[in-house]
Amino acid sequence: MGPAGRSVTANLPASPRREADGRWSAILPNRWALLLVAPLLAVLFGFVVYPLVKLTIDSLTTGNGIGNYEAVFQSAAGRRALITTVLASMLVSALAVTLGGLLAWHIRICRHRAVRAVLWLAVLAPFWMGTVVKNYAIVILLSAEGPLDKLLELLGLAPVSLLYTSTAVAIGMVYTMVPYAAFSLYGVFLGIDESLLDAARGLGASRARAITSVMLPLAMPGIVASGALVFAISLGFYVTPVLLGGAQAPFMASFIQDYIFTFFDYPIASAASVILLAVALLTLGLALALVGRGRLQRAVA
Amino acid sequence: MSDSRTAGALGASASREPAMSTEPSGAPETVLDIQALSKSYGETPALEEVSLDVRQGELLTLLGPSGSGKTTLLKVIAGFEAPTSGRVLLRGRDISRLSPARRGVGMVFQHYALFPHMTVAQNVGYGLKLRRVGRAERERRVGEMLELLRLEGLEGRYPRQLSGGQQQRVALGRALAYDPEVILMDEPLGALDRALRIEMEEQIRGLHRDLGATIVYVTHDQREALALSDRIAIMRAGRVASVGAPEQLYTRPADSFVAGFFANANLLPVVEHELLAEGHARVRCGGSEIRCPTTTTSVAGDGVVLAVRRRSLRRAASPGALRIAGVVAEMLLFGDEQEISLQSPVLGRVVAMMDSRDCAGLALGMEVELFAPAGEAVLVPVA
Repeated sequence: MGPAGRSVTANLPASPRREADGRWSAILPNRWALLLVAPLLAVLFGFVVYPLVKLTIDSLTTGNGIGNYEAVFQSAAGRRALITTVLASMLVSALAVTLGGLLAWHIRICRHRAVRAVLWLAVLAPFWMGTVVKNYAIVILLSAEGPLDKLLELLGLAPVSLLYTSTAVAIGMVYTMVPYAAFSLYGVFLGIDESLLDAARGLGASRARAITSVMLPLAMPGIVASGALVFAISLGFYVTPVLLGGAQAPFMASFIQDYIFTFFDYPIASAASVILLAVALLTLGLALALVGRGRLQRAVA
Repeated sequence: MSDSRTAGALGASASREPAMSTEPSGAPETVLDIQALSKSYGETPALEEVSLDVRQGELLTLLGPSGSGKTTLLKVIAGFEAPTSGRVLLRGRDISRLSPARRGVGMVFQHYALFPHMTVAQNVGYGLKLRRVGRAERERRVGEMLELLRLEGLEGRYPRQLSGGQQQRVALGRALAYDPEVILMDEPLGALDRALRIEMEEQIRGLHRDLGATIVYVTHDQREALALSDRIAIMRAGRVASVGAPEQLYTRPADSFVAGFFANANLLPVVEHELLAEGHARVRCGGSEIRCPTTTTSVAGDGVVLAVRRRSLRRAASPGALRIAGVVAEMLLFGDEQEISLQSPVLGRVVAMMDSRDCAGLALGMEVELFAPAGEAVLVPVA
């Protein structure tokens, strides 16, 4: 290398692997880092950003323009689907976070490896199964003359026909969403020092008080985030409401599907999709505002 | 007892048992009575038949190498671990089966374990709040504690905004605020650097003196134990090897483990010994025969060693002194002091800590004689 080249390397760490003085460094200059994530950015843009922007534009320009949205809100089916979707998702989020949280907390504090392994298996198993398989399993459990009814009969109770009701949909959705909640909350709980609970108990707190006064406040940002995540995913459920709810619990996704494949009305379908997307984004934004950066930082400090 | 802080702390404790209001007469009362406590994890015993009493107002240190069971003992007292057998009595009340919350002990954790989502004032007031102390009274007590611990003006800060020493003081204040019967401290200064540790030692000593608190303190640092303790319990492999005042353990170690671990003594082989009256013995060791104190009652030839502390050795001979001859194998300078390792053909390796001025003219490979003055060597049983 000539004298000119040496002077360049001496001035700035142009090479990604060598500092000016020849030492090896793992830190990349910004432009190199950008190049490395470029493929990911391209995929994100091509498969997420572009379709969503196109969808939003189509919903406003094709058909009756803004009237597409009016049509969704004016149709009784549309209103009902939207309300059902939001309410069911809220209920499912609350249940999934509660159950997932209990599961995650027990994995966190359990000291027996075998028990922990079983609990992890319980969390992971639903992840490994396909959506249809998972829902069909619940169909079998809840069907008339199925195991649930047999059990009730054995206990001398009247059979309940849960299949094709909103309850069945809620059960199926919670079953699917618990692993998401458990996973995200396990990470949150892992960040809470167990000795803080000992400290609380040593200072005079009962087990319950230690959890409500120390563990829950510290986990709250994570719980809110986890709930928002579960809620946003729940909004888009399609298979579960169709398989378990039948005609009883029309979800927004079924409504959209009807407009695409039955009525071939793409403008209305796209407007309904954008509404659903807006609700999801709004929830996530609200959660972020609620948790707040400061509180999040304090919780992890 | 004219100090207003002390008066405040005593006033705060007036609601509890009359132990503090009655003037101590004669021997101080036993606050914590540990009776034949054993704890094992599966097959591994962590504590074996530990018995110990902690007296009113004393600072008792549990000192031992890691794995000796000192932290386990503390956890059993606090209630975080259940004993396999044995009892813990707090002022005569059996607390071994109570939950930690109902034991009325305060605890300072090794890494402070301050609540990160609470301010300094909320941390210190936590125990008071759990005890349903009213808001005004709580604020008064917290203020008192913060003043005592020189934390005024920091009440609104969060733990992460504090220095290590300040966090440590908050942890102390949190354990002291509700005036527990006993305060347990688990290596509370372990995470601090040396200078800060010495400063905090002084503060703990001061708090202990001013408040008359009863403290059980765990450490593996012999120097810290010497600086703080009224009494020290030396632990070894799940048992209490020896209990006593620092001075007593230092000058009259009960056995070779205590002498080696606590007093950092050389343990020299004894050729023969004969027990005399009044805790003395005649001992032949190396080339000399001396009369020295002893803590053994064994007349057998083996099973005893002569413990000679490093600082007992000097170059000047004196009447009745133990003479050690050898070759200088190593020299380490510690400023005013110098550590000399001597290789003796009869006694093996002997380490001496001497005044640097006394070491003038010494060089590696040199043959020298060192002397332990009469009364400095102690004949002890082998542990």
